[in-house]
Amino acid sequence: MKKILIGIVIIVNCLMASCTGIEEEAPRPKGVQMDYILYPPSELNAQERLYLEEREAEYRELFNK
Amino acid sequence: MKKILISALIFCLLLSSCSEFLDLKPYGRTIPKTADEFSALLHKHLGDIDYGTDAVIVGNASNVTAYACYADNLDASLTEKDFRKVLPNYIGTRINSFQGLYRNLYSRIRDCNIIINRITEADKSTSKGQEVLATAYTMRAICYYSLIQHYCEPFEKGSSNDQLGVPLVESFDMEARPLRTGLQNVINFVIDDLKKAIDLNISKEEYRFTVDVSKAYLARMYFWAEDWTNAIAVSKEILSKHPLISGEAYVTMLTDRYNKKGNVLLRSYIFPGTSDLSYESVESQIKHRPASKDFVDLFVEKEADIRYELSFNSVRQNQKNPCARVRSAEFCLIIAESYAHLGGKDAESLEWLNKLRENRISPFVPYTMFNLPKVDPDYIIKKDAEDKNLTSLMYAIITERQKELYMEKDRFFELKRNGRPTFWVGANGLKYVMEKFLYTTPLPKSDIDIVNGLKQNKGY
Repeated sequence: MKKILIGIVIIVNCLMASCTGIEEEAPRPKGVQMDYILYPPSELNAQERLYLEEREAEYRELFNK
Repeated sequence: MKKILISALIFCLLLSSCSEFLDLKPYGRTIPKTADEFSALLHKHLGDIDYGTDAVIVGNASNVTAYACYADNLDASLTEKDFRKVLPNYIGTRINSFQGLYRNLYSRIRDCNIIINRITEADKSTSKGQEVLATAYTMRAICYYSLIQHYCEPFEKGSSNDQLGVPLVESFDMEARPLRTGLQNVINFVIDDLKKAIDLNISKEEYRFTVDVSKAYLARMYFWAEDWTNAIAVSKEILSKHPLISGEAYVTMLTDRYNKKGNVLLRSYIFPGTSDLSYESVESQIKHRPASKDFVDLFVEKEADIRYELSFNSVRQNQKNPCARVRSAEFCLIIAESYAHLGGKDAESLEWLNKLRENRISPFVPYTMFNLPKVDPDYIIKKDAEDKNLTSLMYAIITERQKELYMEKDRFFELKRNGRPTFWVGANGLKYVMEKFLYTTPLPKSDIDIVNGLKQNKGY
Protein backbone atom coordinates (compact mmCIF):
# COMPACT_ATOMS: atom_id res chain seq x y z
CA MET A 1 0.00 0.00 0.00
CA LYS A 2 2.82 2.32 1.00
CA LYS A 3 4.57 1.63 -2.30
CA ILE A 4 1.41 2.38 -4.28
CA LEU A 5 0.96 5.71 -2.49
CA ILE A 6 4.56 6.72 -3.01
CA GLY A 7 4.21 5.72 -6.68
CA ILE A 8 1.08 7.90 -7.06
CA VAL A 9 2.81 10.89 -5.44
CA ILE A 10 5.86 10.48 -7.69
CA ILE A 11 3.73 10.17 -10.85
CA VAL A 12 1.58 13.20 -9.92
CA ASN A 13 4.68 15.24 -9.14
CA CYS A 14 6.38 14.22 -12.36
CA LEU A 15 3.28 15.12 -14.38
CA MET A 16 2.98 18.52 -12.72
CA ALA A 17 6.66 19.23 -13.06
CA SER A 18 6.60 18.42 -16.76
CA CYS A 19 3.51 20.62 -17.29
CA THR A 20 5.20 23.52 -15.53
CA GLY A 21 8.25 22.87 -17.65
CA ILE A 22 6.25 23.26 -20.84
CA GLU A 23 4.71 26.45 -19.54
CA GLU A 24 8.09 27.94 -18.76
CA GLU A 25 9.93 26.91 -21.87
CA ALA A 26 7.34 27.55 -24.56
CA PRO A 27 7.78 31.30 -25.11
CA ARG A 28 11.51 31.33 -25.90
CA PRO A 29 13.21 28.43 -27.67
CA LYS A 30 16.61 27.62 -26.22
CA GLY A 31 19.82 27.53 -28.19
CA VAL A 32 18.53 29.80 -30.97
CA GLN A 33 20.95 32.08 -32.79
CA MET A 34 19.66 35.55 -31.87
CA ASP A 35 21.59 37.59 -34.44
CA TYR A 36 21.66 37.88 -38.21
CA ILE A 37 24.89 37.23 -40.03
CA LEU A 38 25.38 39.04 -43.31
CA TYR A 39 27.57 37.95 -46.17
CA PRO A 40 31.20 38.67 -45.28
CA PRO A 41 32.78 41.64 -47.07
CA SER A 42 34.60 40.77 -50.29
CA GLU A 43 38.19 41.61 -51.28
CA LEU A 44 38.69 44.83 -53.22
CA ASN A 45 39.72 44.25 -56.83
CA ALA A 46 42.66 46.12 -58.39
CA GLN A 47 40.49 48.79 -59.99
CA GLU A 48 38.60 49.49 -56.77
CA ARG A 49 41.84 49.57 -54.80
CA LEU A 50 43.30 52.12 -57.23
CA TYR A 51 40.16 54.25 -57.04
CA LEU A 52 40.39 54.33 -53.24
CA GLU A 53 44.10 55.13 -53.30
CA GLU A 54 43.43 58.10 -55.58
CA ARG A 55 40.76 59.40 -53.24
CA GLU A 56 43.02 58.97 -50.22
CA ALA A 57 45.86 60.80 -51.96
CA GLU A 58 43.53 63.62 -52.94
CA TYR A 59 42.32 63.95 -49.36
CA ARG A 60 45.84 63.83 -47.90
CA GLU A 61 46.82 66.65 -50.23
CA LEU A 62 43.81 68.71 -49.08
CA PHE A 63 44.63 68.01 -45.44
CA ASN A 64 48.29 68.98 -45.78
CA LYS A 65 47.64 72.25 -47.60
CA MET B 1 -1.58 4.92 6.86
CA LYS B 2 -4.23 7.66 6.86
CA LYS B 3 -1.58 10.18 7.91
CA ILE B 4 0.60 9.29 4.90
CA LEU B 5 -2.39 9.56 2.58
CA ILE B 6 -3.35 13.00 3.98
CA SER B 7 0.24 14.27 3.80
CA ALA B 8 0.53 13.06 0.19
CA LEU B 9 -2.69 14.89 -0.74
CA ILE B 10 -1.56 18.11 0.99
CA PHE B 11 1.75 17.89 -0.84
CA CYS B 12 -0.01 17.55 -4.18
CA LEU B 13 -2.33 20.46 -3.33
CA LEU B 14 0.67 22.63 -2.44
CA LEU B 15 2.20 21.93 -5.85
CA SER B 16 -1.00 22.89 -7.63
CA SER B 17 -1.04 26.22 -5.82
CA CYS B 18 2.53 26.78 -7.04
CA SER B 19 1.31 26.26 -10.59
CA GLU B 20 -1.47 28.81 -9.98
CA PHE B 21 1.14 31.26 -8.77
CA LEU B 22 2.95 30.93 -12.11
CA ASP B 23 -0.25 31.90 -13.91
CA LEU B 24 -0.57 35.19 -12.06
CA LYS B 25 -0.07 38.25 -14.24
CA PRO B 26 1.78 40.98 -12.40
CA TYR B 27 0.63 43.83 -14.63
CA GLY B 28 -2.80 44.00 -12.97
CA ARG B 29 -1.21 45.66 -9.98
CA THR B 30 1.15 48.08 -11.71
CA ILE B 31 -0.75 49.66 -14.59
CA PRO B 32 -1.27 53.41 -14.08
CA LYS B 33 -4.87 54.55 -13.89
CA THR B 34 -5.10 58.31 -13.38
CA ALA B 35 -4.17 61.22 -15.63
CA ASP B 36 -1.32 62.10 -13.26
CA GLU B 37 0.08 58.57 -13.46
CA PHE B 38 -0.27 58.57 -17.25
CA SER B 39 1.51 61.91 -17.36
CA ALA B 40 4.40 60.46 -15.32
CA LEU B 41 4.61 57.54 -17.74
CA LEU B 42 4.91 59.93 -20.71
CA HIS B 43 7.34 62.27 -18.98
CA LYS B 44 9.85 59.46 -18.64
CA HIS B 45 10.05 59.29 -22.45
CA LEU B 46 9.83 63.07 -22.90
CA GLY B 47 12.66 63.46 -20.40
CA ASP B 48 14.78 61.08 -22.46
CA ILE B 49 14.28 63.34 -25.50
CA ASP B 50 15.04 66.49 -23.49
CA TYR B 51 18.24 65.09 -22.01
CA GLY B 52 19.44 63.44 -25.22
CA THR B 53 19.20 59.89 -23.92
CA ASP B 54 16.46 58.94 -26.39
CA ALA B 55 17.61 56.95 -29.40
CA VAL B 56 14.14 55.66 -30.24
CA ILE B 57 11.57 58.40 -30.80
CA VAL B 58 13.54 61.44 -31.98
CA GLY B 59 17.19 60.35 -31.73
CA ASN B 60 20.27 61.71 -29.95
CA ALA B 61 23.71 62.75 -31.25
CA SER B 62 25.08 59.22 -31.25
CA ASN B 63 22.02 57.96 -33.11
CA VAL B 64 22.10 60.79 -35.69
CA THR B 65 25.79 60.19 -36.32
CA ALA B 66 25.23 56.46 -36.81
CA TYR B 67 22.61 57.15 -39.50
CA ALA B 68 25.03 59.61 -41.14
CA CYS B 69 27.56 56.76 -41.27
CA TYR B 70 25.01 54.49 -42.98
CA ALA B 71 24.43 57.03 -45.78
CA ASP B 72 26.66 58.76 -48.32
CA ASN B 73 27.30 62.30 -47.03
CA LEU B 74 30.42 61.14 -45.21
CA ASP B 75 33.22 59.21 -46.91
CA ALA B 76 33.56 56.01 -44.89
CA SER B 77 36.56 54.91 -46.97
CA LEU B 78 38.54 57.91 -45.69
CA THR B 79 37.92 57.22 -42.00
CA GLU B 80 41.11 57.56 -39.96
CA LYS B 81 42.52 54.18 -39.07
CA ASP B 82 42.00 54.42 -35.29
CA PHE B 83 38.32 55.23 -35.74
CA ARG B 84 37.39 52.44 -38.13
CA LYS B 85 36.18 50.31 -35.26
CA VAL B 86 34.32 53.16 -33.56
CA LEU B 87 32.38 54.44 -36.58
CA PRO B 88 30.39 51.84 -38.55
CA ASN B 89 31.58 51.24 -42.13
CA TYR B 90 28.01 50.77 -43.30
CA ILE B 91 24.66 49.72 -41.87
CA GLY B 92 25.62 46.04 -42.04
CA THR B 93 28.06 46.55 -39.18
CA ARG B 94 25.17 47.33 -36.86
CA ILE B 95 22.31 45.49 -38.52
CA ASN B 96 21.57 43.48 -35.38
CA SER B 97 21.03 46.60 -33.29
CA PHE B 98 17.78 47.17 -35.17
CA GLN B 99 16.29 44.19 -33.35
CA GLY B 100 16.61 46.28 -30.18
CA LEU B 101 15.08 49.34 -31.85
CA TYR B 102 12.04 47.24 -32.83
CA ARG B 103 11.51 46.11 -29.24
CA ASN B 104 12.02 49.63 -27.90
CA LEU B 105 9.52 51.13 -30.34
CA TYR B 106 6.91 48.57 -29.31
CA SER B 107 7.61 49.24 -25.64
CA ARG B 108 6.78 52.94 -26.25
CA ILE B 109 3.66 51.84 -28.17
CA ARG B 110 2.68 49.65 -25.20
CA ASP B 111 2.86 52.64 -22.85
CA CYS B 112 0.78 54.75 -25.25
CA ASN B 113 -1.77 51.94 -25.58
CA ILE B 114 -2.13 51.76 -21.79
CA ILE B 115 -2.98 55.46 -21.74
CA ILE B 116 -5.26 55.50 -24.79
CA ASN B 117 -7.21 52.41 -23.71
CA ARG B 118 -7.47 53.11 -20.01
CA ILE B 119 -7.98 56.83 -19.64
CA THR B 120 -11.41 57.42 -18.13
CA GLU B 121 -14.14 59.56 -19.68
CA ALA B 122 -13.91 61.84 -16.65
CA ASP B 123 -10.17 62.39 -17.24
CA LYS B 124 -10.76 63.00 -20.94
CA SER B 125 -12.80 66.08 -20.06
CA THR B 126 -9.93 67.65 -18.08
CA SER B 127 -7.14 69.65 -19.74
CA LYS B 128 -4.50 67.33 -18.29
CA GLY B 129 -6.34 64.28 -19.57
CA GLN B 130 -6.54 65.79 -23.05
CA GLU B 131 -2.85 66.74 -23.01
CA VAL B 132 -1.88 63.24 -21.97
CA LEU B 133 -4.15 61.64 -24.57
CA ALA B 134 -2.93 63.87 -27.43
CA THR B 135 0.69 63.17 -26.50
CA ALA B 136 0.03 59.42 -26.40
CA TYR B 137 -1.65 59.50 -29.83
CA THR B 138 1.24 61.46 -31.37
CA MET B 139 3.93 59.36 -29.70
CA ARG B 140 2.26 56.13 -30.86
CA ALA B 141 1.96 57.52 -34.39
CA ILE B 142 5.63 58.55 -34.43
CA CYS B 143 6.66 55.06 -33.28
CA TYR B 144 4.62 53.43 -36.06
CA TYR B 145 6.00 55.94 -38.57
CA SER B 146 9.50 54.94 -37.50
CA LEU B 147 8.59 51.23 -37.77
CA ILE B 148 7.35 51.88 -41.33
CA GLN B 149 10.56 53.71 -42.24
CA HIS B 150 12.80 50.97 -40.85
CA TYR B 151 11.02 47.63 -41.18
CA CYS B 152 8.89 48.06 -44.31
CA GLU B 153 9.92 48.31 -47.94
CA PRO B 154 9.57 51.80 -49.44
CA PHE B 155 5.98 52.73 -50.30
CA GLU B 156 4.80 51.66 -53.75
CA LYS B 157 1.69 53.29 -55.11
CA GLY B 158 -0.86 50.70 -56.23
CA SER B 159 0.56 47.83 -54.21
CA SER B 160 0.70 49.29 -50.70
CA ASN B 161 -2.15 47.02 -49.56
CA ASP B 162 -0.06 43.97 -50.45
CA GLN B 163 3.23 45.33 -49.10
CA LEU B 164 4.19 44.03 -45.67
CA GLY B 165 3.54 46.45 -42.84
CA VAL B 166 4.29 45.78 -39.18
CA PRO B 167 2.13 44.13 -36.50
CA LEU B 168 -0.53 46.61 -35.40
CA VAL B 169 -0.83 46.57 -31.63
CA GLU B 170 -3.72 48.78 -30.56
CA SER B 171 -4.27 47.60 -27.01
CA PHE B 172 -2.25 46.28 -24.11
CA ASP B 173 -2.36 42.48 -24.15
CA MET B 174 0.67 40.49 -23.01
CA GLU B 175 -0.63 37.29 -24.60
CA ALA B 176 -1.30 38.70 -28.09
CA ARG B 177 0.94 37.58 -30.97
CA PRO B 178 -0.20 39.77 -33.90
CA LEU B 179 1.14 39.22 -37.41
CA ARG B 180 2.23 41.83 -39.93
CA THR B 181 -0.63 43.69 -41.53
CA GLY B 182 -0.60 45.50 -44.91
CA LEU B 183 1.54 48.63 -45.17
CA GLN B 184 -1.44 50.79 -46.12
CA ASN B 185 -3.25 49.70 -42.92
CA VAL B 186 -0.35 50.91 -40.80
CA ILE B 187 -0.17 54.20 -42.71
CA ASN B 188 -3.93 54.74 -42.21
CA PHE B 189 -3.48 53.97 -38.51
CA VAL B 190 -0.72 56.59 -38.17
CA ILE B 191 -2.80 59.20 -40.00
CA ASP B 192 -5.81 58.41 -37.84
CA ASP B 193 -3.81 58.75 -34.60
CA LEU B 194 -2.29 62.06 -35.69
CA LYS B 195 -5.68 63.46 -36.67
CA LYS B 196 -7.06 62.52 -33.26
CA ALA B 197 -4.13 64.32 -31.62
CA ILE B 198 -4.64 67.38 -33.85
CA ASP B 199 -8.34 67.50 -32.91
CA LEU B 200 -7.34 67.71 -29.25
CA ASN B 201 -5.34 70.84 -30.21
CA ILE B 202 -2.65 70.82 -27.52
CA SER B 203 -0.25 73.75 -27.52
CA LYS B 204 1.40 73.26 -24.10
CA GLU B 205 5.16 72.97 -24.77
CA GLU B 206 5.64 70.88 -21.64
CA TYR B 207 4.33 67.86 -23.54
CA ARG B 208 6.66 68.50 -26.52
CA PHE B 209 4.26 66.85 -29.00
CA THR B 210 2.13 69.92 -29.63
CA VAL B 211 -0.49 70.20 -32.36
CA ASP B 212 2.19 71.59 -34.73
CA VAL B 213 4.42 68.57 -34.13
CA SER B 214 1.46 66.28 -34.86
CA LYS B 215 0.87 68.20 -38.11
CA ALA B 216 4.55 67.92 -38.99
CA TYR B 217 4.48 64.13 -38.64
CA LEU B 218 1.20 64.03 -40.56
CA ALA B 219 2.92 65.86 -43.43
CA ARG B 220 5.86 63.43 -43.19
CA MET B 221 3.50 60.45 -43.28
CA TYR B 222 1.58 61.79 -46.31
CA PHE B 223 4.89 62.48 -48.02
CA TRP B 224 6.27 58.98 -47.33
CA ALA B 225 2.97 57.53 -48.59
CA GLU B 226 3.19 59.64 -51.75
CA ASP B 227 -0.05 61.48 -51.00
CA TRP B 228 1.37 64.63 -52.55
CA THR B 229 -1.77 66.79 -52.33
CA ASN B 230 -2.27 66.28 -48.60
CA ALA B 231 1.47 66.60 -47.93
CA ILE B 232 1.39 70.05 -49.58
CA ALA B 233 -1.72 71.18 -47.68
CA VAL B 234 -0.41 70.22 -44.22
CA SER B 235 3.12 71.51 -44.92
CA LYS B 236 1.71 74.90 -45.96
CA GLU B 237 -0.16 75.12 -42.65
CA ILE B 238 3.10 74.52 -40.79
CA LEU B 239 5.02 77.08 -42.83
CA SER B 240 2.36 79.75 -42.43
CA LYS B 241 2.78 79.48 -38.66
CA HIS B 242 6.54 78.84 -38.60
CA PRO B 243 8.07 80.69 -41.57
CA LEU B 244 11.60 80.14 -42.83
CA ILE B 245 14.36 82.19 -41.25
CA SER B 246 17.74 83.24 -42.59
CA GLY B 247 21.11 84.75 -41.67
CA GLU B 248 22.17 84.93 -38.04
CA ALA B 249 18.82 83.61 -36.79
CA TYR B 250 19.31 80.48 -38.92
CA VAL B 251 22.86 79.95 -37.68
CA THR B 252 21.77 80.37 -34.05
CA MET B 253 18.93 77.91 -34.56
CA LEU B 254 21.32 75.21 -35.78
CA THR B 255 24.28 75.90 -33.52
CA ASP B 256 22.40 76.35 -30.25
CA ARG B 257 23.06 73.24 -28.33
CA TYR B 258 20.20 73.21 -25.87
CA ASN B 259 17.51 75.62 -26.96
CA LYS B 260 14.59 75.20 -29.30
CA LYS B 261 15.03 78.30 -31.41
CA GLY B 262 13.76 79.68 -34.73
CA ASN B 263 11.29 77.39 -36.45
CA VAL B 264 12.31 74.15 -34.72
CA LEU B 265 9.15 72.33 -33.66
CA LEU B 266 10.78 69.39 -31.93
CA ARG B 267 14.35 68.46 -31.12
CA SER B 268 16.42 66.35 -28.78
CA TYR B 269 18.64 68.04 -26.16
CA ILE B 270 16.67 70.71 -24.36
CA PHE B 271 18.64 70.42 -21.12
CA PRO B 272 22.33 69.67 -20.60
CA GLY B 273 22.71 66.48 -18.63
CA THR B 274 24.87 63.46 -18.18
CA SER B 275 24.60 62.76 -21.91
CA ASP B 276 26.59 65.93 -22.60
CA LEU B 277 29.84 63.98 -22.45
CA SER B 278 28.61 61.49 -25.01
CA TYR B 279 27.51 64.39 -27.26
CA GLU B 280 31.03 65.84 -27.17
CA SER B 281 32.56 62.43 -27.71
CA VAL B 282 30.40 61.82 -30.81
CA GLU B 283 31.25 65.26 -32.19
CA SER B 284 34.94 64.58 -31.86
CA GLN B 285 34.67 61.05 -33.32
CA ILE B 286 32.81 62.13 -36.43
CA LYS B 287 35.57 64.60 -37.30
CA HIS B 288 37.69 61.57 -38.16
CA ARG B 289 35.43 60.68 -41.08
CA PRO B 290 35.44 63.54 -43.61
CA ALA B 291 32.47 64.63 -45.68
CA SER B 292 32.52 63.07 -49.14
CA LYS B 293 33.86 65.17 -51.99
CA ASP B 294 30.67 64.60 -53.98
CA PHE B 295 28.64 66.08 -51.13
CA VAL B 296 30.93 69.09 -50.69
CA ASP B 297 30.81 69.75 -54.45
CA LEU B 298 27.03 70.12 -54.26
CA PHE B 299 27.60 73.50 -52.59
CA VAL B 300 28.18 75.25 -55.91
CA GLU B 301 27.86 78.71 -54.35
CA LYS B 302 30.54 77.81 -51.74
CA GLU B 303 30.76 80.45 -48.95
CA ALA B 304 27.82 82.38 -50.44
CA ASP B 305 25.69 79.52 -49.13
CA ILE B 306 25.35 79.94 -45.36
CA ARG B 307 25.24 76.15 -44.93
CA TYR B 308 28.69 75.64 -46.46
CA GLU B 309 30.78 76.75 -43.47
CA LEU B 310 28.10 75.57 -41.08
CA SER B 311 28.44 72.01 -42.36
CA PHE B 312 32.20 71.37 -42.62
CA ASN B 313 35.59 73.09 -42.53
CA SER B 314 38.29 73.43 -45.20
CA VAL B 315 39.40 69.81 -44.70
CA ARG B 316 35.85 68.53 -44.91
CA GLN B 317 35.53 67.76 -41.18
CA ASN B 318 32.01 68.01 -39.84
CA GLN B 319 31.07 71.29 -38.14
CA LYS B 320 27.32 70.85 -37.73
CA ASN B 321 25.69 69.74 -34.47
CA PRO B 322 24.44 66.21 -35.01
CA CYS B 323 20.89 66.71 -33.82
CA ALA B 324 17.52 65.30 -34.87
CA ARG B 325 15.10 68.16 -35.43
CA VAL B 326 11.69 68.77 -36.91
CA ARG B 327 11.85 72.20 -38.54
CA SER B 328 10.20 74.26 -41.27
CA ALA B 329 12.79 73.86 -44.04
CA GLU B 330 11.88 70.19 -44.42
CA PHE B 331 8.26 71.12 -45.11
CA CYS B 332 9.26 73.71 -47.68
CA LEU B 333 11.16 70.96 -49.49
CA ILE B 334 8.23 68.56 -49.10
CA ILE B 335 6.02 71.11 -50.87
CA ALA B 336 8.57 71.62 -53.66
CA GLU B 337 8.98 67.89 -54.26
CA SER B 338 5.27 67.11 -53.98
CA TYR B 339 4.43 69.72 -56.64
CA ALA B 340 7.14 68.25 -58.88
CA HIS B 341 5.59 64.78 -58.54
CA LEU B 342 2.08 66.04 -59.26
CA GLY B 343 3.04 67.01 -62.80
CA GLY B 344 2.19 70.27 -64.52
CA LYS B 345 3.13 72.15 -61.35
CA ASP B 346 6.80 72.86 -62.04
CA ALA B 347 6.33 76.61 -61.52
CA GLU B 348 4.90 76.04 -58.02
CA SER B 349 7.68 73.56 -57.26
CA LEU B 350 10.35 76.05 -58.34
CA GLU B 351 8.70 78.80 -56.31
CA TRP B 352 9.03 76.80 -53.07
CA LEU B 353 12.52 75.60 -53.89
CA ASN B 354 13.57 79.21 -54.48
CA LYS B 355 11.93 80.28 -51.20
CA LEU B 356 14.33 78.01 -49.34
CA ARG B 357 17.37 78.97 -51.41
CA GLU B 358 16.81 82.71 -51.03
CA ASN B 359 16.98 82.23 -47.26
CA ARG B 360 20.28 80.38 -47.51
CA ILE B 361 22.26 81.90 -50.38
CA SER B 362 23.41 85.48 -50.79
CA PRO B 363 23.75 86.78 -53.49
CA PHE B 364 20.93 84.61 -54.72
CA VAL B 365 19.99 83.79 -58.30
CA PRO B 366 16.58 82.11 -58.51
CA TYR B 367 16.25 78.85 -60.37
CA THR B 368 14.16 78.81 -63.54
CA MET B 369 13.44 75.80 -65.74
CA PHE B 370 16.33 77.01 -67.93
CA ASN B 371 19.11 77.41 -65.37
CA LEU B 372 18.50 74.33 -63.22
CA PRO B 373 21.64 72.23 -62.68
CA LYS B 374 22.01 69.27 -65.04
CA VAL B 375 21.60 65.84 -63.44
CA ASP B 376 25.04 64.54 -62.52
CA PRO B 377 25.29 61.09 -64.19
CA ASP B 378 27.42 59.91 -61.22
CA TYR B 379 24.89 61.06 -58.61
CA ILE B 380 24.09 58.17 -56.29
CA ILE B 381 20.31 58.52 -56.63
CA LYS B 382 19.14 57.53 -60.09
CA LYS B 383 15.39 57.12 -59.56
CA ASP B 384 12.92 59.29 -57.66
CA ALA B 385 10.26 58.12 -55.20
CA GLU B 386 7.95 57.15 -58.07
CA ASP B 387 10.71 55.13 -59.73
CA LYS B 388 11.13 57.67 -62.54
CA ASN B 389 14.49 58.89 -63.83
CA LEU B 390 15.62 62.09 -62.12
CA THR B 391 14.64 65.30 -63.90
CA SER B 392 16.73 68.45 -63.42
CA LEU B 393 14.04 69.81 -61.12
CA MET B 394 13.91 66.67 -58.99
CA TYR B 395 17.70 66.53 -58.87
CA ALA B 396 17.79 70.15 -57.65
CA ILE B 397 15.19 69.43 -54.94
CA ILE B 398 16.83 66.23 -53.69
CA THR B 399 20.32 67.78 -53.55
CA GLU B 400 18.92 70.88 -51.81
CA ARG B 401 17.41 68.60 -49.18
CA GLN B 402 20.72 66.76 -48.85
CA LYS B 403 22.47 70.06 -48.05
CA GLU B 404 19.76 71.47 -45.80
CA LEU B 405 19.15 68.41 -43.63
CA TYR B 406 22.73 67.17 -43.41
CA MET B 407 23.42 65.61 -39.97
CA GLU B 408 19.75 65.66 -39.07
CA LYS B 409 18.96 61.94 -39.55
CA ASP B 410 17.38 62.45 -42.96
CA ARG B 411 19.70 61.27 -45.74
CA PHE B 412 19.52 57.52 -45.04
CA PHE B 413 15.73 57.58 -45.39
CA GLU B 414 16.01 59.79 -48.48
CA LEU B 415 18.16 57.13 -50.13
CA LYS B 416 15.61 54.51 -49.10
CA ARG B 417 12.69 56.57 -50.48
CA ASN B 418 14.47 57.31 -53.75
CA GLY B 419 15.33 53.95 -55.28
CA ARG B 420 17.55 52.42 -52.56
CA PRO B 421 20.81 52.85 -54.49
CA THR B 422 23.59 50.35 -53.87
CA PHE B 423 27.07 51.68 -53.09
CA TRP B 424 30.21 50.34 -51.48
CA VAL B 425 32.84 51.50 -49.02
CA GLY B 426 36.36 50.17 -48.65
CA ALA B 427 38.05 49.48 -45.33
CA ASN B 428 41.15 47.41 -44.52
CA GLY B 429 41.30 46.08 -48.07
CA LEU B 430 37.70 44.83 -47.92
CA LYS B 431 34.63 45.97 -49.77
CA TYR B 432 31.40 46.54 -47.81
CA VAL B 433 28.40 46.77 -50.11
CA MET B 434 25.26 48.67 -49.16
CA GLU B 435 22.85 46.26 -50.79
CA LYS B 436 19.26 47.16 -51.58
CA PHE B 437 17.79 44.84 -48.93
CA LEU B 438 19.81 46.50 -46.15
CA TYR B 439 17.64 49.62 -46.35
CA THR B 440 14.89 47.52 -44.75
CA THR B 441 16.11 46.33 -41.37
CA PRO B 442 15.32 42.91 -39.82
CA LEU B 443 12.62 42.09 -37.30
CA PRO B 444 14.00 40.46 -34.10
CA LYS B 445 14.90 36.85 -34.67
CA SER B 446 13.30 35.86 -31.37
CA ASP B 447 9.92 37.23 -32.55
CA ILE B 448 10.18 35.30 -35.81
CA ASP B 449 10.96 32.11 -33.86
CA ILE B 450 8.16 32.55 -31.33
CA VAL B 451 5.31 33.93 -33.44
CA ASN B 452 4.00 31.42 -35.96
CA GLY B 453 3.48 33.03 -39.35
CA LEU B 454 5.39 36.27 -38.64
CA LYS B 455 7.28 37.09 -41.84
CA GLN B 456 10.88 38.30 -41.87
CA ASN B 457 12.08 40.89 -44.36
CA LYS B 458 13.89 39.72 -47.48
CA GLY B 459 17.61 39.11 -47.18
CA TYR B 460 17.74 38.02 -43.53
